[in-house]
Amino acid sequence: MSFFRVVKAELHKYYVQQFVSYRTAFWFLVLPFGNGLLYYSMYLPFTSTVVQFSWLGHNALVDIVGFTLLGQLLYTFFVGVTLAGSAFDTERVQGTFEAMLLTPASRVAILLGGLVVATAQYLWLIVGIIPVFLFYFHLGIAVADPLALLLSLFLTYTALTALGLCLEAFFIQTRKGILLGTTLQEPVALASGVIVPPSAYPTQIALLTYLIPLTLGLISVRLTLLAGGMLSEVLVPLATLAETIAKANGSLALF
Amino acid sequence: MSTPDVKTEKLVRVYESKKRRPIIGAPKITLVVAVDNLDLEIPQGELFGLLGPNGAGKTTTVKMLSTLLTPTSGRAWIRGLDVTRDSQKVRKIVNMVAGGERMLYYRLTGRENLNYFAELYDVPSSQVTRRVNDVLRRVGLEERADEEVEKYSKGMKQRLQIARGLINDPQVLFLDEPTIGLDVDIAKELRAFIRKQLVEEQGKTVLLTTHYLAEAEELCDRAAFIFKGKIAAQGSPSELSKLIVPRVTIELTIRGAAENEIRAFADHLGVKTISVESVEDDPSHFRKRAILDADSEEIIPRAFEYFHARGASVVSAGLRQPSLEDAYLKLAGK
Amino acid sequence: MRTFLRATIGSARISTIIYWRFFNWTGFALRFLSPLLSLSVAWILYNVVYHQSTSTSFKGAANSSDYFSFVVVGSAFFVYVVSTLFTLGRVMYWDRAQGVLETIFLTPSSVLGYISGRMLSAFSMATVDLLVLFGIGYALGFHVTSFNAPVFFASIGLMVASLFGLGLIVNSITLIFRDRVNTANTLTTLILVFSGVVAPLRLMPDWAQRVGAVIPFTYAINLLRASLLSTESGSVNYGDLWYLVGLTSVFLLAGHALLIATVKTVRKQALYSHI
Repeated sequence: MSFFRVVKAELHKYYVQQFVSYRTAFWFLVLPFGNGLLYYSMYLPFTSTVVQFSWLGHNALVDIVGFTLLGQLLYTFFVGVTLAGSAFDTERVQGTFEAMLLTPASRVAILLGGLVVATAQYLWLIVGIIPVFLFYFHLGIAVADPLALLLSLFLTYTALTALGLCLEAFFIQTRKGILLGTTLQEPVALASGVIVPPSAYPTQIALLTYLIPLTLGLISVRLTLLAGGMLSEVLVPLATLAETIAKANGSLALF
Repeated sequence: MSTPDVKTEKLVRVYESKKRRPIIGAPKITLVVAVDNLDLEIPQGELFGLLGPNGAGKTTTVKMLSTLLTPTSGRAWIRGLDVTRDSQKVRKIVNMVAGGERMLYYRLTGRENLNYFAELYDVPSSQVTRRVNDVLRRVGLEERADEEVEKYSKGMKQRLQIARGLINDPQVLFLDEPTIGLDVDIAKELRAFIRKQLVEEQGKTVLLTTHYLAEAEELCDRAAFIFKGKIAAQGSPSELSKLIVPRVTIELTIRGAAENEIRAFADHLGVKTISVESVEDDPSHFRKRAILDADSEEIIPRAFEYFHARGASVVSAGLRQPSLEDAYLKLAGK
Repeated sequence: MRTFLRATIGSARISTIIYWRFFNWTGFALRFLSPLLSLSVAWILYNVVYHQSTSTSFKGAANSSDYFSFVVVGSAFFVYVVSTLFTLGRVMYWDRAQGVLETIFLTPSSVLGYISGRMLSAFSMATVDLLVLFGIGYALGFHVTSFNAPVFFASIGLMVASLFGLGLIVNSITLIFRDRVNTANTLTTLILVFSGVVAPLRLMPDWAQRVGAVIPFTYAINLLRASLLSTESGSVNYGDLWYLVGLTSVFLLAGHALLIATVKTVRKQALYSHI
């Protein structure tokens, strides 16, 4: 059976079940937008309109708007990939999980289908949010090394997708996928620098947060998109992300 | 003449069926007439059966009578109370039990479920405990009453449903396929309970919908066939059978007659031969079994005379009265 | 009245029992993740990133420079919003999914009583959450600088009433449109952003302030902060109280009307079946 046919079938299933009305499409846009505004508004009571963050000796001053927007965008994608895995809980409850496994369809294709859905939602979000932040909030962009930016975006996306595949493979083994997926979200949001820079934490804790792919992705993308960061400045987080991808692929044997 | 417990007059229920629409475009709506000018009367203390295939309108009828659904047009009364205008009063004196495993809170125990519904039915506070214990005892769930419903078997859930259906001591009870999916012995117990305790001892009026025609034959005082929302026929089970299938099936075992002779006998009397075959355990194939479709059992003594005159003999004769199943199949066009 | 009260108390009891049996202590702990995130971020921003240096506009808007206490009060009372929208806002939806909605509608009991019981359960659980969050906030530096009892209790009462009305509206939307989580999730987020839970509404853009102006919770939280965190007398804006009364009445009336319409629609369109 064609791998891509299975992925396409998963996408169509999701579309028919979830994305079936203008109302649902609207909610998918409003929710992350609201969260983005929320994190942005938490900076308003303070005197500065920029936030400083550091990474291995590099310091950058970044506008709050860009800082929080990117945090929200990548965090939404992270939430999407964790929820893709916990969606198997729903399949189990409905009794359709067994029916899926009875088919000869590639299991990886089934998993990937869920992640494609998360990406589709993410793209929809980008279409909706970025113009608002660019034109209304006057998001300041400073790209000095386009290659570094592209690599940052690509590796972050791939690392989060790979992480999502691993989480899916893990969640399937438990009956608490939804619970685990939900539990992960807020701690990761706090630790990975979605809202506050991890450099605000004590060094030992900051080092631990760098184990989360989302943290490294945020650092790379923020540095290269908002602070004119060069490839040399983001080489270490990018290399770590690449390693994460490799390890994640290996871990798929778990499934 | 006393007011019937259940009465309907030209009761109609139409559903709108919407086809799922694409992201752009209006949905396509189809109108489905589930109940079509239904007229029904059930006197007090009767066990009335409503029989029909899936989608015939049985459940829709029951839901309208129990006030769960608003009729599209027509009227219905329960003990003289209009189901639309006096719906709150109707709910106090009726209850409904549906087949299947839903309609219960799974995280609550059996007792907690019943206590809750006793509150909602405003059972006097001083009587709640006694009433709950009583219904639990009647359905045989006393010992498992304090376990969560999700741990119950299918049969136990169904029994708890019945208990819930009795919690307000209803005068009229609607049972919508109550034995569906139950084991044979549990279903048999339940039928006995419905007939003996609910109807004969307590004098409740029961409207039962079922697929199982044998169940209706066993339980019902009267029944009606419903097809595509309309009543096709109603009466007692035997009246219905005879009304629709006014013929009997006769089985004769004959020794010493060939197949063509047996068929000639049937033709001579104007009786239809359904089948003639050799009796299985007769190695000489000397005995034949004939199934005939006649309008009365009078052909049996004539068969004895006929075959005796020709040197053969009728070894045994059996008579099968038409059943509700025969009537159903005939009405359904099968 | 008796049937209403019995339905209310019965519903509250089973709702609480079901919640504890489904979620137990794990679920209870997880309820705090989101408010703890807000508190943690607020604490880090206030104490570590900006070294307690809040802007003049914040001090003017909040009548205080203590951003952390500002967020503690907002986040702690916000649990009532979450509890209401996710319990009351989806009560009929979930009961329908279990197949129990039919059984409820079969009884002669008051539907309003059945729903009020769920609200009572949501309120009780939210109150426990509130106390826990205040405790955590206190451990991290939350200070109550005043206590205006009449304003405090009046605000809570009106807040709960307005949330009840909103919950009825969301319940109807969720049931009729078969919308499992989107409405409740999105409204919760919008109220979180536009009611001034984590930042004074006055610091947000004009259009955001206009949105916040129609949310009763905005006024409730202003009054609650004024009753707990004022450093000067006369800081209670009684205009907020009148707005809160007005909006609460509107939401309650709208919610009640929608509930009646929903019950009629359910019976008319046979919306009992499992989604």
